[in-house]
Amino acid sequence: MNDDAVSFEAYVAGRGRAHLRLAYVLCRDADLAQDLVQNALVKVHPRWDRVDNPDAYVRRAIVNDFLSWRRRRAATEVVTDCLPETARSAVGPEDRDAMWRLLAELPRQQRAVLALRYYDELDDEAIARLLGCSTATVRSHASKAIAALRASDAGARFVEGTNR
Amino acid sequence: MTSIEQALADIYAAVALEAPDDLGLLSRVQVASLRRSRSRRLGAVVVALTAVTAVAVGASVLLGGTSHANRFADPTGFLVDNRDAATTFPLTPSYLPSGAKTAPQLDVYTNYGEANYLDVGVDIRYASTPSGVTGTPTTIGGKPGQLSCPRPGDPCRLSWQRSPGTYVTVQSDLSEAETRRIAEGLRDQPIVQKPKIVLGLLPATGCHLTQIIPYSTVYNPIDGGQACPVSVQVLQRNEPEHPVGPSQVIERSASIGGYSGKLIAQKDQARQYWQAILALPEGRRLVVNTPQGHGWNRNELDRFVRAIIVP
Repeated sequence: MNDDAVSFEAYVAGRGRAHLRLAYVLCRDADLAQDLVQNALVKVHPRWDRVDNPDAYVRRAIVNDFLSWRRRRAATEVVTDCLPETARSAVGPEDRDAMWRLLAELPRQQRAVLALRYYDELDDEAIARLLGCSTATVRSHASKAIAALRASDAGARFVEGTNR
Repeated sequence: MTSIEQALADIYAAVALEAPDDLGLLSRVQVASLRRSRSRRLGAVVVALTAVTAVAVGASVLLGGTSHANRFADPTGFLVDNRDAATTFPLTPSYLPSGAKTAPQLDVYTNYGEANYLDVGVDIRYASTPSGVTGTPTTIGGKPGQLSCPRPGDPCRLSWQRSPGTYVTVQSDLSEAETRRIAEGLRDQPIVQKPKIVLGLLPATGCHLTQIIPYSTVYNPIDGGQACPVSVQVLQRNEPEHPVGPSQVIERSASIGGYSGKLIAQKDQARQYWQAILALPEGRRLVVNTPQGHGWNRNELDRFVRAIIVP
């Protein structure tokens, strides 16, 4: 049972922004990110008192919905072309943008694994539980995705830049 | 971590900064949750939310229980009397389904606004840019638009350009016909609403009343104003405080506006902010967020808090 001291309203106030960031990192679409988080929270709301780990529940709902949204919106999704200039890397915005375009072309499961690993900093076991697959599958997704990025020109430039 | 992995971490961190704000998230979740509960006829959830709202609205009491002759005056002129502040949503529905009894919750920004009719599950939004709703081409009031009613249980959306530079979306869990009736019945008549939490004093310039919900009032910067954002929220008993900013947080006990609590000074990359968390009766707390500098000093914060009227 969830900690009674934390109301649903307080949870949304405290964790909503973090969930929006994860959703946005997955899809880079502000409207879709808001829909993903809203849908996840609406799912958890009626069973709030019975959810042991709301973060895990909401995260799983966001990712699963993202995968289905991707299926529904794959034909219309547009990769935007601006990034903030606050990144710590020495690489220019053009390379980051090129890198993001490559990320956008990866299979959705691979993208989800990368975001959960390198943004949400989950370990492979946690990602496997979240996605409902084995840790070997998680490693395989990550390995293939990284290999694809590394093989690209933009990926090579990005790595070169971060090593400067 | 390899270079490519570090690069990924960096790019995700950078992209995360673009994520939308969570302003209005709770009210949207409440709207959607009410829709779902209604569709499943789970009245208990509705009762629970109504109870939360009723507790938050309650009977109006003045913060501190005493009034001061000069409570709404600031000798420096930085803060001005703001008791009559209201926000305006430009569109009024001439038709809503039966059951619409209360005023909508409003989120109004410079280029975007949203009116949520919680008790009937209808949202009306306007924006200066297209909504991004994709679906079936249709006409609304003779103007081209998009209709999206994807599957039973999902919201039905109608989106169209209502006038030059104004794009409107009507979303509901009603039928397409009902949603269309609401959309076509919108009138250019403003809804004017005063906040439940009244900020009796506010910086004279640069602040725009953005959000009105029963337990939060938010002013955002306008016209390049540096004296905002300012927000005031009432936390209920046992409700945890928001996490504060990531860096250089200094926390100390303080008495502000005649109330005891703590004052947190925090700094992000560009600016410094204050967050005051003050004790209210019945275990509730008042959370006040303001910038530091740009006219805000400790005395102004004190005056500002003293002039807040909470429900």
